[in-house]
Amino acid sequence: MTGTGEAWPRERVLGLAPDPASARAADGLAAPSRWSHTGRHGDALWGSCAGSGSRPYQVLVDLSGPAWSCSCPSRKQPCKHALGLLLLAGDGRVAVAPALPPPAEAWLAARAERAGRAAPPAARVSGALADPAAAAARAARRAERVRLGLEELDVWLCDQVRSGLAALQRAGYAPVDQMAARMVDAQAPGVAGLLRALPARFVGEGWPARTLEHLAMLRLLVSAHRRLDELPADLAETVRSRVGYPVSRESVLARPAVRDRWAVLGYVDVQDLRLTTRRVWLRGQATGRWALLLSFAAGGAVLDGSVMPGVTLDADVHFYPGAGQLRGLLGTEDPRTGTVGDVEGGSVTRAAAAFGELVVADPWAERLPVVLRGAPVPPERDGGRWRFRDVDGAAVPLVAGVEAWQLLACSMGDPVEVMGEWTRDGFLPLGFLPHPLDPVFSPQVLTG
Amino acid sequence: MSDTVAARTTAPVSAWDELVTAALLGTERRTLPVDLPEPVGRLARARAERASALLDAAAGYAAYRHAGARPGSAPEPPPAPRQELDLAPGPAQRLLATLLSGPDSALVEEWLRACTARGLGVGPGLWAALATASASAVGPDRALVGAALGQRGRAFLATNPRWRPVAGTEPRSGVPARERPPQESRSAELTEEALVLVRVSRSLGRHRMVVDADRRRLRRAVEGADLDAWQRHTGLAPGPFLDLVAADAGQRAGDVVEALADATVAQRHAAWASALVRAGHVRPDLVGLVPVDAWGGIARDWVAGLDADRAALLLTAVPAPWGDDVADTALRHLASGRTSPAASRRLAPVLARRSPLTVRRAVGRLADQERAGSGVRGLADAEQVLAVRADIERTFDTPEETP
Repeated sequence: MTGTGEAWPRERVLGLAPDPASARAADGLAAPSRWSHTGRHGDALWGSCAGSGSRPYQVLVDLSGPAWSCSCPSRKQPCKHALGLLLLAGDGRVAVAPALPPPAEAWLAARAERAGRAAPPAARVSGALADPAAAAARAARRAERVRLGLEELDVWLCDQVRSGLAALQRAGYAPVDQMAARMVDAQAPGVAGLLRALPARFVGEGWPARTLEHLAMLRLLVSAHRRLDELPADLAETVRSRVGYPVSRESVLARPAVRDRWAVLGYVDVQDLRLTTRRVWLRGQATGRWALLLSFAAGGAVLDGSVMPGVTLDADVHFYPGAGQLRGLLGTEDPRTGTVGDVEGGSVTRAAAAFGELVVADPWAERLPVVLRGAPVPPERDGGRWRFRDVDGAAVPLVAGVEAWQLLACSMGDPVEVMGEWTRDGFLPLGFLPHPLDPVFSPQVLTG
Repeated sequence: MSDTVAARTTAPVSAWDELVTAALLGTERRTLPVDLPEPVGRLARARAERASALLDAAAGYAAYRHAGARPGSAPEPPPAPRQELDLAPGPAQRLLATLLSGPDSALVEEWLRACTARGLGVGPGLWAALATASASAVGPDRALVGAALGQRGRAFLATNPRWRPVAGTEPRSGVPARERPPQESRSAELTEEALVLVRVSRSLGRHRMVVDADRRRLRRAVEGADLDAWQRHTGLAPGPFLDLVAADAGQRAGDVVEALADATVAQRHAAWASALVRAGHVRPDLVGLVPVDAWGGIARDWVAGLDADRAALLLTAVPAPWGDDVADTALRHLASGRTSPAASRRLAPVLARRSPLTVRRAVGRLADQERAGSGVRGLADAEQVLAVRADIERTFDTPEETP
């Protein structure tokens, strides 16, 4: 992120919140009556926030990091006070100061010093390989380890079907976790992730079918990996990506860029054990193409909140290799952002067809971003699934367990534009697009 | 998506079910279906080993099912009423979202009052949170919630069985007595008892009385009495009546007053409740039931004569909204330094929630004293609550943002 010194829009600030409670608490603090001695200079913001302690909390924010410091005892990062100060600045209620106060100056200097110490060697930054031959040897060793690991997985998969899925379900997490750990050792982290998602299929009505499908797709991945050299290049890249072969950021950024004005339409945070993954969905206004920005945070680290829904970016997006691949990286970017205007939603039928095309290109595809126009329909009986009905009467069930009350409130039967993910298990709404009835946007956190 | 998305034909679905059954039981016990459609059948036949064949066929099916899925249908939902209310400004609604995430339903109610007083409504993004809060036993007042949601919002509440009580503003269990409908079970017997009391009370001003009824009967009689009729018969207002009783040394006369203090009919009656509180019957339950408009000067009079902590306890029972007199009394009480830290901590948050915002500066001064180490407690938090209340007013007066 570049330090433009501009105040951040509200969506971007709330995107930094470690949880919804922090976002709401920060909203309550974004009032001038709570603050004193506020100011901004360049990328720095500072202020004193009255709290329940005997002394006001001293809050410092560096927009260029972003980074923050607060004297409050909260262990959340960023705390509600830092978020509150950012919201206050976003509302234009923090005046520009001619100079930094001494505490801010000292803190920024210390940060700059630490950043200097942590800078990687120049060769790593440029992406140049120090020793191409050694790198090739490492890649070959890795491929062999993956191959051996996947052969073991194939035996395990067949064993499960041979002895029956009922036995696998009774055994629970332990054997699956064991095999996932084996895949990590075999340097196939993508396969490990697929395995760890397996026990979630063991519950609810229709679990045997879901479990069988999951195992079958793993088996298909093993088979495809065996024939990696025979596959079309795009599909081979997809297989490598699903297995978890690393793709360097530099190599992605070296691929051709798609320049467009990208509207950021939705995001979702998914928590899996200690790792939180953020999926941010962008759609090119000229190309109509979707792009996915992924960020990860472990151990209480902060997710990337630099691109959040509600804004448009004039930027290059470099896509990862692979058929049906939507994941990309932002390249050159105009720092000026805009706001998302009206977005036309499509029909359920068209979305189903689009997902079918994606599955043809990438049989392991799990989700497709879509904007649907329609209304949520509550279940007719307790425990039933919600549906999303388009204006033609076609409907798709929502992902099991999702209750769309907030969406229903905004719609009440009238069609609204909803951005979400079309998945194998149903539609997962991530948010309704700018709607005149409701100025409130809520970040969403799902537990995977 | 199996419940509304069907595959292209019937046959593959039944073959898929057979594959699932074979996988569930295990290929050691169950053979694969022989009539698998192409090209899935070819995938299965390519493998000699049953388990591999089943997995390959299942992979083919899975791709087939998702690539060729067709959506189901749903009936058109019934039309909802239009929203008749303009929405509260964005900053105000964001503040409500913050308040709803906290435990303080009094502040939520204050927000709702500010909203409905301006003829505005809550945006649909907060309906679910507000309904959930109001459906709980300690949530904000349901009538206020219903008013702020408007007719469209109330129709929304009706879609969720858990929220229907909010839509109908049905009373929740365990509500305070004054929110319960008045009891109308005045039997002829009790009316007769009350008439005995009327005769008794009429005599009180003339000579000392001997009351025939026993204490239990006396209490039942008072509870069933029509106090307005009583007043008309005796010609005595509640205050003078109690003054006469206070001057009477008879045990039975004291019983009459005690029975009155315990009687719901007196507690609901502004003049009687006020007179009883003025006469020193300052139990918290009684204090809490004195009508708001009867509070002028009462608090000031009796707080002065009470133990500091007891006075603080009773002040916390004075219902909202506090007038200047009650707020001033509470402030002076806290500032006196006679209140224990525990009592101070109980009174300060009540002061912050029930007082007019004009106390903000005085509370700020006391909070400064607290931060400087004085004995007063809870004022720093009270200052925060008052800041939120001031924000409620401010955010309603903030112009709507341009999207």
